Amino acid sequence: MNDRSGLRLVILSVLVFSLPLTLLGRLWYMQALVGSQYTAAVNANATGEVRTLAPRGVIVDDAGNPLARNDSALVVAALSTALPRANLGTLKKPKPNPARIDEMQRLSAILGIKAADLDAKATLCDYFDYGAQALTKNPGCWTGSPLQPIPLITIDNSTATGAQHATDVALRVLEQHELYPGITAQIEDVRNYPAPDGSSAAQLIGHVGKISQSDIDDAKNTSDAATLKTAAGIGGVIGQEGLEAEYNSYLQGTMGTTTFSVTPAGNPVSTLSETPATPGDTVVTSIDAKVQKIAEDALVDAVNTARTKPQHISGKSQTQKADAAAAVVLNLRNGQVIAAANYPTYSPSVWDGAGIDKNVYDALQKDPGKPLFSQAIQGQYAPGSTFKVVTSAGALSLGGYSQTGTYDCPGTLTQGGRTFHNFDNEGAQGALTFAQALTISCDTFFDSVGADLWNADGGLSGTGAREIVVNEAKLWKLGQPSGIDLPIDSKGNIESRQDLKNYDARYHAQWCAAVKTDKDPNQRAIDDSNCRYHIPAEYQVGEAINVAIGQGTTTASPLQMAVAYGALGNGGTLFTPRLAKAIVGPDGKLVKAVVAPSSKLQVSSDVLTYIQQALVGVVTDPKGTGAAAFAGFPFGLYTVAGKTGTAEVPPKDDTAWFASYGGPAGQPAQYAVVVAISQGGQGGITAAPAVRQIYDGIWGLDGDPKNPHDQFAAAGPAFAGVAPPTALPKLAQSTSASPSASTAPAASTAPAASTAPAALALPAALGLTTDVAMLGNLPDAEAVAVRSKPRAARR
Amino acid sequence: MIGDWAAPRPRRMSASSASRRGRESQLRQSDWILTAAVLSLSLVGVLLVAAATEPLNKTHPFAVVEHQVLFLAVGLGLAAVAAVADYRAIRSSAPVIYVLACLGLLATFVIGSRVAGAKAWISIGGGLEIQPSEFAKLAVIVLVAMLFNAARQDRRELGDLDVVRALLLMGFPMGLVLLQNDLGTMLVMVAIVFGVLAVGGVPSRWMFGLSALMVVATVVVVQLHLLSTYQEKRLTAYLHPNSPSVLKDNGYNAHQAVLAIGSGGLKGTGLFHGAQINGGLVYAANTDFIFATAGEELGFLGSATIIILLAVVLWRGLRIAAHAPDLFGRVTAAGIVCWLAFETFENIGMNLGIMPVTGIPLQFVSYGGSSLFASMLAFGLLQNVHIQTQAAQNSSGGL
Repeated sequence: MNDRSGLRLVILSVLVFSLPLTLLGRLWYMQALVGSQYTAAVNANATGEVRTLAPRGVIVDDAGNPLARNDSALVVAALSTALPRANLGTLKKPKPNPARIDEMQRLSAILGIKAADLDAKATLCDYFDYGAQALTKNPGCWTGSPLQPIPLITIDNSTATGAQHATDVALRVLEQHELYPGITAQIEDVRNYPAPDGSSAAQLIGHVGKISQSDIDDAKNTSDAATLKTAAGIGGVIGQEGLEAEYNSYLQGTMGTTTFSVTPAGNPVSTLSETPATPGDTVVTSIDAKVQKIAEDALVDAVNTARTKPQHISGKSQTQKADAAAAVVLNLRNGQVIAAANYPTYSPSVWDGAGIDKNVYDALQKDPGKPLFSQAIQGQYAPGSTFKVVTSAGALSLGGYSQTGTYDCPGTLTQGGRTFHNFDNEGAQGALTFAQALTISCDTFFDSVGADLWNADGGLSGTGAREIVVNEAKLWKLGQPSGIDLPIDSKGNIESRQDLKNYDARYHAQWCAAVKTDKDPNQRAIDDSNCRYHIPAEYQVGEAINVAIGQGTTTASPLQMAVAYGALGNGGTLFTPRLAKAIVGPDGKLVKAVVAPSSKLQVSSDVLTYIQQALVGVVTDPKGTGAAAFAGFPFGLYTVAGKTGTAEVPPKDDTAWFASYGGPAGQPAQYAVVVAISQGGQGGITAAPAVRQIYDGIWGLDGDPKNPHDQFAAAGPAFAGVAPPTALPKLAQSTSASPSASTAPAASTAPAASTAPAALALPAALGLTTDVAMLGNLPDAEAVAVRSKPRAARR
Repeated sequence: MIGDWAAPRPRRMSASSASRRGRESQLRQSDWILTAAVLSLSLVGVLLVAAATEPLNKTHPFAVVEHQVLFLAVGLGLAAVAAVADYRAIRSSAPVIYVLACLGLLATFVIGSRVAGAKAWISIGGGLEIQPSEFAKLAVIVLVAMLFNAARQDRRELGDLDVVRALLLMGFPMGLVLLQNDLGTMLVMVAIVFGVLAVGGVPSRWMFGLSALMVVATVVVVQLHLLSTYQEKRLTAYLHPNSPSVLKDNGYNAHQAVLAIGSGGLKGTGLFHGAQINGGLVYAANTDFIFATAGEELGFLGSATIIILLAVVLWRGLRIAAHAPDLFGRVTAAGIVCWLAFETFENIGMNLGIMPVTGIPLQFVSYGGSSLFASMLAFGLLQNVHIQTQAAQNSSGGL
């Protein structure tokens, strides 16, 4: 061999050894010098989260009866990463996977959903390949996390047939899970509205529904929106009406998070951490299911009476249409709403489960009585004579009238070219005090007060008008929202001179123009009258008179009247009413006590006392308009005072009112009870008996012997302690069950899901007390998670 | 004891029991340091293959490593045969080996299957595939070694004609490998070409000329985008490892391998405990990226040991080349060293993120029959040359 070769071998050796040296240097740098950076990157790298929904908090009445709770349903879901791949070919040359097609067809046979629909649902939206077009490329595809089970169907197992079906499905999917890779069957919560004591309260409780995009858009901040979006993706619900919506932030709880390490394909490998969901708080309300039921029944009776027994009105004896009604029972010690009844109403159970049946919903929407609408809170009716209390307070406080002075109650009164009659043409009653006028509800008396105050305010032009009645109404929180803790509210209407002037200015030209073009003679008469009297610069005396007797454009909700009469009854405390009493955490600890805000009614106590006495006369004085309804009432034991109202709202039948307060004799008033019946006729005939029936029910009295429903002596008082409970009810212990029980044992080491434990646990899973979450073929992750889920009290 | 490594399998070595004793004594003269290094690497490889595959297959966790043990047994048999085969017979059968290797390469174009972009595999049934290019490297080495040796036997210096002939003969299988889209193997063969030409003693002008040509060729290839799409993507991934599109696609695996190795630290997570490996985040963690498995689970101590063992193999190979009795032995040993050195550097380099990703395995360690068989044959050939050296020294009066 020559020297050249030997020399080259030496050079080659140097080159060759430089290579492993280079590698060693690089290795030392990576592992010894900057290794910790890589470790941090690894930890941030390969994880995925699965979120679990929190059990929603329950809503209970003042005795702890659940108004809204959770029931269980079987949810069959698909884990996209564990399903057979849909496409065995490429993106451009797709090749369907026969294994997946077969599985979907087997599943279709069990679930009764088309195989193609199941397949579409279980397919992940391919944002990587299609970007924004992913949703159109795969209609119905799953937009959520690939790690999240995709719900395919929810089977309610609260009914016997539903439970049987759920058992069948669960058994087949879980026992033969080699036939259903990637399919899980799991018990999940669905909302349930048990309607305790046969009460409805549907308009108060509200309901939950699927989280919509608008819910996400309406979220207060971005973190709330993100939470909602996540929850929406895994079938979460949100309160959409009533208390469910108002207290949603407390009820919803906090979702749990399980963090997996995942492969690049997104397959979970092992559980890194698990934070269980925190159940939602319990909302304890002041609603009493018994009183609510009593009030609802009283409305049914009142409506039936109005529709069947002819009343003598305007010289004719006729029955009333009575299309809607409301009752409110307010606790005057704390401003809490005890009952707010609606007629017509419906069972809140129509909202049970995953969602309302479309036909049921359509029927509710088309019902002319508008059962979805809360008459008690949103209903705006002319208060009629119940408003005379406000007029009296204003007149006696500021209008120069005296409590002892007498004023005329003529048969008719002519003002501003119009003649005002006493109610039902009762004729002249002579000179009366305000108290007497209230007791017999003399219209012309208050018409005169209205006209006199109008004159004092400068008549038509009204420069420097004091508008005593309008301002007095505002003191009583009329014409402004009640502020109740519900998404719904109403403010009614109290029209000032300026309000009407603005209104007339806006429409006067239109009315006058319409007179020439109207074809309908009735409409022409209305437009003609408007064109003639609704001159923007003028405030007709008729308007002032209408305000004084709670008619014309004056409206108020039954709840507003309850607040106003409540303040009269309790000596001047105006409440912002509250349905919720307290928020209680899942651990049973008080999260927040809900206190109804209150303010002082700016009316002197002697005026209040004067009116209070007058209203006692309404029910006790034989001439009182409410006396007939309270015949035989034990006034020695209980004091009740109130005022009837019969508001004329042509062309409809009169609105019947009875606004009252009452309590045990010798005590400040305990309750305000107000009933309003749209097209119910006379307040004394239709509404007052309903109010009495509610008092009878609360105190356990036998009332009208002719009304079989107005007999409560046998049942006893509605409240065990006679008065509404001040303490919070004992909540079922299970609401505070530890959510950490849901942690799957040995989650990171258990091999593929085993069928046996899941199948064994099944009967318990579908039972009433224990819920078993069964994960089907979750690859390499936990097998069976057994959890004892917090549950609502069932009574 | 390590010197007796082939003793349990004497029957595999030869059908003739008469020659058996003589060949066993030949094996005793083998380079036991080389043998120890190769055996250590192979056993570490078995462990790493197990660690890389066990966590990802719950139903048959050790199926892959069982294969590897089988491959190793066969590979050691092949090494033993190559070690004790007649030196002259190997030399004279070099053209046959060369022709067979070229036929194998040609066959991939007819019945080949595509793996990760390169159509370099032939299915031989039973789910097994062989990669003819692995054997082509060996074939090229022995052929050129034979040619140069023949020239030396004629007592003349290598001329231009010898170089051109060697280049043409090596160029043919290289061209085929390039047509297979197997850039990694092609580059290894270039390294081999340089090694055998240099050590063969070709005129220096050829060495400088070829070096210059390589530089020009590289520039031209890159500038004119002559690489196939997947090769360019891999190169882009190498040059821009952190761009989002690269992370999503080609660079993802290299990135995950780098993370795995870096997170291993000094001592590693322990076998079967690497989060990146067990999480399936490192693709091909039992084959091309097996060094990532070593890096994460064995840490610097373990993976540096692998590099040192490989360096030992290179050292012994160079030593064998230096002492070879003739130019055939020297060129063969040097060619094998160049091959192993470059492949090892390329493979571990891509695991460490300092070399572009190409589909070549880590010698003796990675899972796979073809590469293990080829490297075991190479190991056997080194031993053959060594044994030949010992014999020559013994016959001329010993060491």
